Amino acid sequence: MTLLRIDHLAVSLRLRAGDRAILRDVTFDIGPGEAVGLVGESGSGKSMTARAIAGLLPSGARLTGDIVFDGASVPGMSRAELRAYRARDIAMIHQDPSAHINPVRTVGDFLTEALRTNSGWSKAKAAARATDLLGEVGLSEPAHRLRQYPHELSGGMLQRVMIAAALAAEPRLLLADEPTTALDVTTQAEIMAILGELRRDRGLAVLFITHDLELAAATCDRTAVMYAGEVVEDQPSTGLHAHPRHPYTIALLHSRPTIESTADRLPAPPGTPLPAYEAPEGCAFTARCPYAVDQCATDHPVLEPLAAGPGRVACLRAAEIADSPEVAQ
Amino acid sequence: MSTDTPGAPAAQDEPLIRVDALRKVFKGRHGRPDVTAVDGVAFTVGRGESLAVVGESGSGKTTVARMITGLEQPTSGTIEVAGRVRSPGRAGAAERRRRARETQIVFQDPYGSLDPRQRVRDALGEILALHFDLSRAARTDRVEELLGQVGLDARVADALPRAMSGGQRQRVAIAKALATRPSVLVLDEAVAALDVSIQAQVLNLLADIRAASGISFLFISHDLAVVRQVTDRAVVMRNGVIVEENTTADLLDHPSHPYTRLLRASVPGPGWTPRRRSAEAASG
Repeated sequence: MTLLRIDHLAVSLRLRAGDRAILRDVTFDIGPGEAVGLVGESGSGKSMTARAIAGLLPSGARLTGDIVFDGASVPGMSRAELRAYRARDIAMIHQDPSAHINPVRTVGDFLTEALRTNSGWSKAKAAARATDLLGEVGLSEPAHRLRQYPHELSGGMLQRVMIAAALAAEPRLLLADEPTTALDVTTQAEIMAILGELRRDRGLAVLFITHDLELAAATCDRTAVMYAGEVVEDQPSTGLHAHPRHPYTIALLHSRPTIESTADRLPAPPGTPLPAYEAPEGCAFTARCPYAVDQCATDHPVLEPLAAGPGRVACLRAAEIADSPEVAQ
Repeated sequence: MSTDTPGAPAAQDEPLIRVDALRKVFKGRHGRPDVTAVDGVAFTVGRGESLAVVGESGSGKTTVARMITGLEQPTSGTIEVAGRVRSPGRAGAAERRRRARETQIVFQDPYGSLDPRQRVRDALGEILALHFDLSRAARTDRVEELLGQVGLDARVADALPRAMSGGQRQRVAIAKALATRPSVLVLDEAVAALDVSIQAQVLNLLADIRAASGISFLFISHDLAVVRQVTDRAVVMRNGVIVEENTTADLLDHPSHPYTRLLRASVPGPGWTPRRRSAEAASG
């Protein structure tokens, strides 16, 4: 069963210089209560994918493919349907919570506003609910917090407030866009623990967007890897971590230093990540790929099921690499 | 590459940097109480050594870096570089230039240290002209040497910062820092904002630079995996004090202070299960 299905999604923005591709081919799905990590470097299109799911693409964006939430096509929704979908079905948290909260209103105002507007609750009922939510996300003295202003809270506390706000409407899907990137590591562990508990307790599905493959692999059921506006691999997280199939995933895993040992040299892929609009005809990773053959520059690979086990990969040489990963060139 | 070391001569076994009882108090403004950012910190950095200062926000690690590079005045305590104790108070122009040939700093965001209208080649030439008496030809050669050292091609050398990628800009920032031939490079979260594949390239580059030049690193970071890759020894700071010091390998393999253990346990990896602390601890 599928809660969210993204099917060959492509998005381009209309600029004065012409159309510019932002997403080229994004395909993955999320089941109810499932946590899916969406991993990629800057410009790979992870955040734009989240915006497309929330129906928040910039005006003038051109979209092909489909985003289907619980049977309904998001791009096909009317304004009213889209409003109801955003208010009830999905919620979003961001990297910088302070950019998404009104600095001159109290935490209580922020948390109760949606409950009172969308659900028509009384002030007292909404405040009681907000207090409960703050307790759930691990903030001490929740009643006192409601009277505080955003600047009185640390980044980790503010992110808890954002999670509480996201949960207020009891959504079925949480879009979490780098929610721990700006936080200290100990606070990150805390926030991930809270998200994990809430997810299990409420059956909440999560799309967890991050640049940190280790974090995604450790906390999500499945992980999809994006490069230049495309999903290039999608596997259960344990499989992805143990047996990455796409050369880019392999490169990401190997180029990150580990806490257990010091490498003589980090096997960094040459060059820089490519934005979608600069992607060539063939595979976008060709120029940086140690496995690339002539055909890679011209033939565009599509996501194909793995020969063994669940998951999909978009690489012409996937089968050979799976058989013997050391075969380069 | 040349290996001459600037600054006053010091015995080879003497540490290059010796910091003792270092303290920094920021005066509270608008009736707020004073904040003690660094409270009695002591450590040494040997010649060619790479020392990590590990900590989270508010630990005081950046304030230590800024005091060592002269961007901040210590409230008390001593900083000794290459056998000379830094005198308290504001330094004059000659003293600042001398310090610039001892310590240089690279920040997380290179944008702040790059002039948006200055081409890379000109930025490097300007630093060389300020610090060294070089002929035009020698200066051009040195610029090429610096560009080669950080792996930038001629095309980038003639570009403006906005036309560069984040990784290229950070390479430029490193080249600028190396231009004065400092004996210590202070790297304040210098690879934290880079994409994983670019971060690996820059970490390799930093290892090459240290191997070739014998430069010392003071590596300020919250990232334990990165610290393991590029440092020999590490101190862990929390709330302005050092809570643990050891070789980097031993510190990470056998953390002894509870806070170091918490940091270590907070690093995600296979089989990682993040745990909630108590609500009280969480509110801090």
